[in-house]
Amino acid sequence: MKAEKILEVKDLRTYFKIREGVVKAVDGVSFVLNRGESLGLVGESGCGKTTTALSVIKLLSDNGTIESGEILFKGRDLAKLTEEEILTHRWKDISMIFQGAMNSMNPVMKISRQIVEVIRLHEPEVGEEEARTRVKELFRLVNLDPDLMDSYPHEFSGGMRQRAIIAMSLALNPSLIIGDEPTTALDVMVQAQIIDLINRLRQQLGMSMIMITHDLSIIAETCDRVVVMYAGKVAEIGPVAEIIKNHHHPYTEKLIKAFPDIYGEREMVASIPGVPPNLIDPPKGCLFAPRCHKKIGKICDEVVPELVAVAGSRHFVACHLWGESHE
Amino acid sequence: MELKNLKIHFQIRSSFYEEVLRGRRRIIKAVDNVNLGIKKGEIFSLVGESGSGKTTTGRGILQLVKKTDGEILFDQEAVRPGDKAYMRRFRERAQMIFQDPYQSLNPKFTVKEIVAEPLQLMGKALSAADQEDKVIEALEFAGLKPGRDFLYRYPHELSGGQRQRVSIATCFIMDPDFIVADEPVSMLDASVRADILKLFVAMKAQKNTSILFITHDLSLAWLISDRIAIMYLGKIVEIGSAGLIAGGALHPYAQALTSVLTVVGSDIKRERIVLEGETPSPMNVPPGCRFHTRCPYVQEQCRSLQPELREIEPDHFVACHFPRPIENIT
Repeated sequence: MKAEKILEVKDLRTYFKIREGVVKAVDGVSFVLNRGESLGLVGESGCGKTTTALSVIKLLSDNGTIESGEILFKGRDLAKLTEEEILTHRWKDISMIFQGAMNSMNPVMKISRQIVEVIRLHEPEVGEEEARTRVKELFRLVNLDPDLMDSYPHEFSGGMRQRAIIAMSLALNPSLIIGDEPTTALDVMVQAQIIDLINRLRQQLGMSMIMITHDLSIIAETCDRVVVMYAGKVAEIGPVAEIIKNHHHPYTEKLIKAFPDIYGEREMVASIPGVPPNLIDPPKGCLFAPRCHKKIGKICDEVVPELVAVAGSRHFVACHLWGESHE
Repeated sequence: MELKNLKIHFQIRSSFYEEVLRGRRRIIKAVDNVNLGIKKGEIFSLVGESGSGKTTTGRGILQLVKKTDGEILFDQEAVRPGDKAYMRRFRERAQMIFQDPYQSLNPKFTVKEIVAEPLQLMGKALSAADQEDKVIEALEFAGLKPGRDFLYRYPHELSGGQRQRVSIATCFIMDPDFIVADEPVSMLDASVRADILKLFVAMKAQKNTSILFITHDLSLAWLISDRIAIMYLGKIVEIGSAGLIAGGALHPYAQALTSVLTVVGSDIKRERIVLEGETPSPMNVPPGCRFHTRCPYVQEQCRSLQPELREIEPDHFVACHFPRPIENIT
């Protein structure tokens, strides 16, 4: 059976205008997300992961615009929709769990009220009682005691609030959930609980998911495929296991080596020297070249590498090194 | 540095009615009977989740919070917080590195002023040129090369990793014997963590500095330390060499913590032990073993009797009534 595409991003370019110039935060990103699949976006801070996600649901700040590209959600181009039109898609079709979302709830409003509000805003025909019943079900779904639904956010611990936020994001049965560092601010054990919850919900509800994080280990636990981003571009894309074992981009290699493996030899992890380039005036050629340890010569400094297929059609890499040895 | 039965309790202010009329006081036992010794030139890690008391222990050692009871010994001598002359010397020798380099550096000072400030405070009379040389040496040690280029920058011009390097330079310039590093890399990208951690290892190697590394990340602790202590609700549950804790922990909490560590690129898949529920509030500590409410192998005795930290094999201490290696659990 051919997988059904739920989201297709084609050559997305999102730029921010600031006083110093134009920041090319996302510059030519393309990927496909199939129904029921989970896709990870990984990279250092400032590589465009969050901007890509915000472009998808069009929550960019005022100085940011989608310059070009298409965002096809179930065949409809979200990039061209007006603010009013996109409103009907948020929550209902696509919902987003923000970084530190557990601190983003309204502190003076009961949690049940906040979720009911979301439901009734998008489905005005649903009555108050029915909405409350749904909140109860949602609480059960995320392993929270439904009797606690009338609590205020401060009465919940961080982990419980995060569960409540996940419940809220599921309120309208969206087909796509975007999680932006959903476990970053949590304790190790709570983080493990939330990862288990997300994995269970994905199987149970058949959701598609985009998981944004700088932590490759979380991607390894929750995602099917991963997009490695660097400086607003895709460096490598492919199935998670394949990327971890058989990566071809020097940046991916460095990123993986930055994590200690406590089941292996105790060897000091390696940092990636230097900092990501300034995206106002990016260097010519491959953007990773100034930090790359495998640079092969002039071509890296002068020509932007294209994303090319590695094995079959699932694994792609944008590096001259690969092109060189396989042509 | 040695701690003997260290206790740090905080009193919670409650209403006048509760406190005076009903005589009820609520006390948080943030650190409760902690014993540990850090050897000269050793990196010792304190690992735990939020609320475990690891930060309070670190602050208690440096006299940033008052201890309630117990002893803090530095060079076999009790630390005397009331003795001004002693404390002056103590503050020179024992330094702290904080978690958040965005808040711990004064935004109105240049890097040179920040790094040189402790020298001035300690009344070291140095000529301007000597002082500048020392600052440059410290900056270069911390990996800000060439140091001269950084002297007149302000913190806002630096990245997070660079700021943390400035804090390390500030600490290094005092040539301390002991450093408490409280989550020094948790705000940084994974790609720069390693270099910062290497600085601690370098400091230990070059200057024989003792370091107390406080972190929630067991894998980072494992990477750089000689020994690791795991804390849960104000008590140490297990102490042992880094390799031992990562591979052969005996306390169920320590085992659970290692089992949920997600690993990139490893073929070994361990059974993950995900504990149910959350750490109880330190205001309301469970009786008996503090971990019994969440322990997967809890037995009757655990509910009433508090286990003491005992030496199971040389240099390996566990506070559990029924310690057992992880392989034997079905």
